[in-house]
Amino acid sequence: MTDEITLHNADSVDVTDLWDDLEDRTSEFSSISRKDRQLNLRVDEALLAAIREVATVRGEGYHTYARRLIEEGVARELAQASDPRLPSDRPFRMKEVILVLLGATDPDAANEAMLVGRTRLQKMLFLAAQHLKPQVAARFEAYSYGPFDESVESDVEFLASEGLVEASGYESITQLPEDDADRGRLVLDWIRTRNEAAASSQDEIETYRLTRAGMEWVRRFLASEEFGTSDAKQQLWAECIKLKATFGRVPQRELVDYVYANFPEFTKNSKIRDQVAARIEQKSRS
Amino acid sequence: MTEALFSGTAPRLWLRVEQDADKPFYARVPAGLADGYVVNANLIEHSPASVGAFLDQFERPFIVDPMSYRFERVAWHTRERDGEVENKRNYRRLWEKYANGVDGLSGDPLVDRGTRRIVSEQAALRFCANVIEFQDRRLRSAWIDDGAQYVGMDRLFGYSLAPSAYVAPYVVVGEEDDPVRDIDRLVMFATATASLGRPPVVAILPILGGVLEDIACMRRLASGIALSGASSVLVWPVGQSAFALADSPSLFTGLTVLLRGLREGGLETGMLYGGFFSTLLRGFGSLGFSHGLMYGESRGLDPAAGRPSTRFYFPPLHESLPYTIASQLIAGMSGQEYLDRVCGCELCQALVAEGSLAEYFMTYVPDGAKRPFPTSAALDLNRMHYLFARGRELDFARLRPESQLIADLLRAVDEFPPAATRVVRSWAGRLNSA
Repeated sequence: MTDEITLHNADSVDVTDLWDDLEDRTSEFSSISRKDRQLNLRVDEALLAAIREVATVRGEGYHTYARRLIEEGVARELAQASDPRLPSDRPFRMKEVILVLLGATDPDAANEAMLVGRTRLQKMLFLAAQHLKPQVAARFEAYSYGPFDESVESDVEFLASEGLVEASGYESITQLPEDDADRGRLVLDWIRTRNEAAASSQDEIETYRLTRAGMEWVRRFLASEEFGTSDAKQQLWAECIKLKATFGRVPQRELVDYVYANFPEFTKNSKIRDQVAARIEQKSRS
Repeated sequence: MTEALFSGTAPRLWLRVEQDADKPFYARVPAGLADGYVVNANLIEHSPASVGAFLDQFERPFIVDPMSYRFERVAWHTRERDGEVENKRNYRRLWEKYANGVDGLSGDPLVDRGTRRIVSEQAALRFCANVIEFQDRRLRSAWIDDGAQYVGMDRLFGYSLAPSAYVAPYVVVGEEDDPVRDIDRLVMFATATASLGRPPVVAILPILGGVLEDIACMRRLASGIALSGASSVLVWPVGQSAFALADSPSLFTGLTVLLRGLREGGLETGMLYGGFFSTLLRGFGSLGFSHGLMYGESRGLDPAAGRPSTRFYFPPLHESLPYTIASQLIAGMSGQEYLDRVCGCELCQALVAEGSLAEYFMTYVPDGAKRPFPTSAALDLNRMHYLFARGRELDFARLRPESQLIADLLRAVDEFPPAATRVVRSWAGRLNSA
């Protein structure tokens, strides 16, 4: 490890020498990942001052802030490299739409930052993709229960594993108990919980909600100039708000009926097409 | 011998990740159970980001099975819809990547026996390069390119998501009634892959039963692979059950000739699809095996279909027994007696502590069905029991010589006579006489 740390007090006086007098508390930071490579940069005074100023306003150390800027910039460049189209030409990816849909809350419309049901999530993403076509990169096909994009579940699992989404059914275990009996008990509880929950309701019980990190991601996504124009993002946001207000809390059947009635080409392989058609017919008569 | 897969005391285990649904179960077993994962290429094609996140979370070694044999048969990569046969998307995409720029394959639709249409060394080289590129890049590109904006930099670059070895594409020996030609093609693929300069290379050798009995073929295969540059081999006696292997002297001899030949050629060798009985082959050079969740000893070419069976892994006999038989065998045992005589795994301990062992055997009869099927809770319990029990039996096997394992097997047959299958006796007899 070759970190060189310079410390400055509030008057910008270098107090690095005081470092040696500090109590050793490194064990408290053992869980923080080590940065074992060093990057020295020469920058002009004005930029350094600006970095310090912004970092102070944000309540971060200026090294931390500068590193975060670099990290985020590199991440954007990498993402851009995989899809070199201009932001205005690049469709939103499904992961982005999932995050924005979950984060789309409007107090006036009593929206919640949560969705219940795997089918509901699929169908609402389908509607977003249809309404915003071709601004969403989706792969919906006519499956056994209507439109379905097989990448959605994988994307949700990925976002859950990255701590951006909390999704029941995708709980991960990071550390198992050492003791056999405790491990067995943990596994038994997990199996019972997931099966009892499924058995207790006729409806789907999967829940999806944004974590704090997910909310922060959505905020940055909407505010940044990357990954789509602000107009396109406004449209995406407005569409998600509307979808959640309309279909976020109604019985799932109503959402399914709406999709089947308006997008029949995506129901050609459906096992429940006749059943839903009869329901829609009955509704229209009454 | 280069240790690419099986370091440490044999037998070792690699778990096969075949579908996304396997991951929650694998996430709940101790790290020591398996040395790594064998991940199906079609799963990686389907959900690279979530598979990458899973592998990253546990930071265990992995290899990618290219599943190239599935392009030899229609059944695997097509489905019927509205009376029309269409290619499954993941296999179509996989084939497009594998076949890209290969003479005779480029631009072709995904076709039956596609891999066998590669005849020249040049085409084989390009094909193998594509297959290895897929193994090397698919997870990382999904992780870095698509995941970059979601993943912290520490995570993004902290783990390379590179496989610990590269698996050469393969065909099934004996599938076209010309095993010598198949063997030469296998050797060509392994050699081409090794020549790409990204070691270590693993060769998978799927062999149909009839060919396994051909000693000359087995010697040719062993010597060819030994010269290919591959450092590890996973043998797959296609569709041969533990019973068939043990009961047929010619099959058993062919398998052991192959294993010995590979070992003498300096290759690290294991069984691609195995179980406890495969562990008894370590005396012949097999250092370990891999298999998926709830699978038995063997694996055929054609996909298994239908609902899950009502079977409970019964550790003393190292077999999955129907619920009815397993529950009869343990009926009347006290909790402690069950833990001592049948299974003391983590899950069994927890169930015995609350007197709930019967939860393993819960069934229901779905509408229109004539026989019972496991409830989803029973199925989950049996999956975890299978994993925990397998971990214990491997720990046990690592500490004991084959002679003691065989003695234990014979004792178990006497102890649980209603379930005394011929498999156990056949293996004991075969190994004792070998």
